[in-house]
Amino acid sequence: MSLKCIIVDDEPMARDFLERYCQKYGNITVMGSFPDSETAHTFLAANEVDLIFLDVEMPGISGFELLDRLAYMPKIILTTSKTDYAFSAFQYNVTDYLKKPISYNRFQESIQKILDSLSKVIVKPISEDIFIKADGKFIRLNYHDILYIESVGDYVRYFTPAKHYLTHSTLKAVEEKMNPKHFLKVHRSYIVNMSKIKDIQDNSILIESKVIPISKALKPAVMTRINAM
Amino acid sequence: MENEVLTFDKNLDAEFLFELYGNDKEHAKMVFEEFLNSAPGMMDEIEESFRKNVVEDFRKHVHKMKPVFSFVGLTHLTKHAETLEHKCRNSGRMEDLSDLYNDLKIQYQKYLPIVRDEVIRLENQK
Repeated sequence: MSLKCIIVDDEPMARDFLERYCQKYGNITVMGSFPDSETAHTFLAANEVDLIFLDVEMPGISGFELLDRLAYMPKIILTTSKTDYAFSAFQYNVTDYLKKPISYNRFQESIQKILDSLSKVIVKPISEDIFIKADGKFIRLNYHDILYIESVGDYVRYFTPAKHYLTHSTLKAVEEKMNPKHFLKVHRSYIVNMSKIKDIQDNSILIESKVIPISKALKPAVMTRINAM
Repeated sequence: MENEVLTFDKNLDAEFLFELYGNDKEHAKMVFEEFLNSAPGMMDEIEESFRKNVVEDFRKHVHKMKPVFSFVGLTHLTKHAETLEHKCRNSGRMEDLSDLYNDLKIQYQKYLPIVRDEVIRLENQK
């Protein structure tokens, strides 16, 4: 599998290193190398990439602010010389976190993580329905009947037009099982059925009469999926 | 080029340099040369922000320089810069930073000729 990437870092030597490593690794095409988030954003508005090597602390808008502005979310490898972005990295669902200066071995490990995560998406079995354990029995739910799923502490609640079902699980576990073609996590507490969305306004989604918040980090993914004109 | 074993001056972190470059002499030489071109300007920027007494600007310039030291095996200066950066965050007063910063400048000046010699050594290594 080949990867198209860009590098965003204000430090030229750090960019050179990554370009060199990409060249050495093979199958990684560096589409662009940018000293700041603004120029990277302009490029990404017109071009699609698989991966961004992204520094966080740069002049002007930060790496995380760049992610907030994207209309779609490629895989992200943070390249930073600070270690205190772990929580934000988690929030933005970054695949790996490379502390500068980056060794080639560490770079290779990181690329392998990207390739593994991409191949997982490809081989994931797709089914049109699931069984959930609720009310002391396993109940079949067809994907087309589910409006959205809400996290409630140690439980999740599946909402259908007719009723809702509470089951012991986590939203993360649900996300892994649901067909990604139809469902999308839009907030730490919500997964929605994309075909049930009535409208999107600012940072919220309307499904039937329910208003569901969209998190800042996940909004680019939502906007990519809705096929807006 | 790839199958020669690179050696470095004993003052530089050879183990780390091997992690970065393997035996790629051309890459190492290119980065060492780039360091000599870029580092003085970056250190000047740090100095200027220090003189202007704006701790956050000073911290940003130190932060940018921090990994660059390691590109030429000066990993202890990266750690030094990291300590300085932490202190910027914790203290916020330039007068608390001056000793550590002066020490960084002295160390940098001490090792700069070694990096310069290393470019020549890399050029001559077979």
